[in-house]
Amino acid sequence: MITLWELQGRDGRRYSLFSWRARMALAHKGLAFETRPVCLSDKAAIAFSGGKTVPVIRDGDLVVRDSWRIAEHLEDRYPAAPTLFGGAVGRGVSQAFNAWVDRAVVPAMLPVVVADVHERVDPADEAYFRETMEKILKRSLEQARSERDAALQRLARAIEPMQAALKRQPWVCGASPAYADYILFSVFQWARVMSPREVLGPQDPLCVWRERMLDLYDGFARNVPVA
Amino acid sequence: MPQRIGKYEVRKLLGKGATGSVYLAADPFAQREVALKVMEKLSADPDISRKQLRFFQNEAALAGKLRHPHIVSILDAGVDEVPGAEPVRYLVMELVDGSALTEYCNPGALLEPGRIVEIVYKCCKALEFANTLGVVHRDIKPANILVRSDMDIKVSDFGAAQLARSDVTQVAGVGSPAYMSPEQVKGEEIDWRTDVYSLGAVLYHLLTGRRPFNGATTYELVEAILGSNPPPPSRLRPGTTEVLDEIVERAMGKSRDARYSSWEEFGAALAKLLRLERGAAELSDAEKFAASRRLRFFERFSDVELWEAVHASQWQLHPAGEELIREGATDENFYVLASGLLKVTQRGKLLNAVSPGECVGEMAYARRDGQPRSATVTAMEPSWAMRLRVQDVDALSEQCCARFNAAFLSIMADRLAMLGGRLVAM
Repeated sequence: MITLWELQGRDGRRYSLFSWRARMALAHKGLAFETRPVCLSDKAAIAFSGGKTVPVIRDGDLVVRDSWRIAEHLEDRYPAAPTLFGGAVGRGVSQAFNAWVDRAVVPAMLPVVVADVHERVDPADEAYFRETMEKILKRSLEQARSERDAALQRLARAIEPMQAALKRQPWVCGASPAYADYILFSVFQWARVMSPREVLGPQDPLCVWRERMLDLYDGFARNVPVA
Repeated sequence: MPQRIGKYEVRKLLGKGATGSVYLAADPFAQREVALKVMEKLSADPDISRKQLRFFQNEAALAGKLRHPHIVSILDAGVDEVPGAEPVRYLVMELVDGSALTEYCNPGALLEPGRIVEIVYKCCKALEFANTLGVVHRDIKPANILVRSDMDIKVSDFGAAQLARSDVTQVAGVGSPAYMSPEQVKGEEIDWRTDVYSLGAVLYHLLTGRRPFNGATTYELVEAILGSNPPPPSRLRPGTTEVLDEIVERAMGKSRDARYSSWEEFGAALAKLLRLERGAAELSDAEKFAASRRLRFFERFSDVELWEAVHASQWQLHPAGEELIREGATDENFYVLASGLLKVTQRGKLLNAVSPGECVGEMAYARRDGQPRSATVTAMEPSWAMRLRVQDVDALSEQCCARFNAAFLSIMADRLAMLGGRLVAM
């Protein structure tokens, strides 16, 4: 059985967006796994991995950290299970997409949800989370909350290309979902789990796609504690 | 010379004109040098003083609005109250290290036609941008176009501009007669096409070394503008092409309807000419801009953002067989293909073909981890590519960086969609 270490917030919320990539990849491959919740500030809990961030998996004797490396590991170790990338070219494009979502979409979502996330992290993480985020955003969480509308507009501009793509096709990867879908989905699942405010309109192609994503694997991502 | 005006520390006088003095000044907060234009004292003549005030208000109203690489930015405007004296009205402008285009209007100092066309093209795009904000310059002349040592230009002095949706009452009868359109000299209603005419007149002057119309008196000059046609530039300057004659003639049409129907059309005519005149191995900024405008990668970039990208890029014609990126090497470049065809190979195996408007090597920008390249990119035919370095893109405005991110994301989405069939098959 594979073990996944991931962040846990208040009321059992699993909110690490990068861990959601690993979760969806595991589900895609049809692999059974158990999870171990950790606090954001508890670096000792995952020190065995050699890193300070989740997700981390233990698969037999192997420990793998970083969501991208986990996806590559699963693809290489379980080639008979449904593919995450669709071959070498797909792996390269998915990696590029991974980098772009992290560069363009994650930073656009962060100021939209950060204040809500802070209210739902484990109480032991509150001070650490505030300090870290305020340093990244160069503003207080309260200021970020007051500027949420402007941040929402910036997010809308950042995700415009994906809206256009999802008007033409059901999944980011075309006719069926694959790892690039999970990369993008993780950002919206993060918001869904930790923020009570909806960031997508009901007619938005991204909203329709997200609903499809939530239905995958018997509602695997839908049936979790959300804000 | 005053020591300080508003928050600005005055360093030296740069020039003195009819409407005021321009000083080199320092902005202590922004820690940059600026040009401070201080208005002359108001005239005792109420008509003139009203006009002076309106000109000042006009430019002040544009502070922070006309942000374009080829327009002198107005950064701030203020009125310094002086006890017992008239207030000091000033405009704070971007400092441009250059001189007015008048320097190149003398028969002995004319620029070569390709250079002139490029300058006019940039003016064209700047005025097109101003027009999208409802601004008509109304006083386009060589003295109001600044040219830097690298021959990049900036349109200046929007004091006479007509502003749409402005609270400032518009002033009639402004402009410099020699470059005025027929409707402007007649005092009729004007629109953006008056700037097209004036820019055509500037083009004429730059090509020939003489103004299109002259007169011993203003009356004679107006008569000439309304009733005669200047000789085509090619007759005064051998070597000027007939195409250029046609562009000047069209821009300077006597009626507004005879001129170009849009700034875009005017710009396209100039860009086409540039392509004809330039050699195969060299591209002007205007050509780069026009070529980029056609590329899908830049379709969501505004003109301002596109100029930023063009200025940050290096363009190169890669002969067939030349490598742009080599597998195993580390570099910090990515490329947008403007023309031709590239192939992407990994250990000799073909992975992909890259068409104009697509990009390659963007992982260097996305990841920044110094990882060696995982594939080789080679020109399959002679290909123009614009090369951008990671640090150059980082230095662009926030909006321009966001456009790059969105453009990359859009390309990724397309590439992923193309993989869809493969995923289903597997």
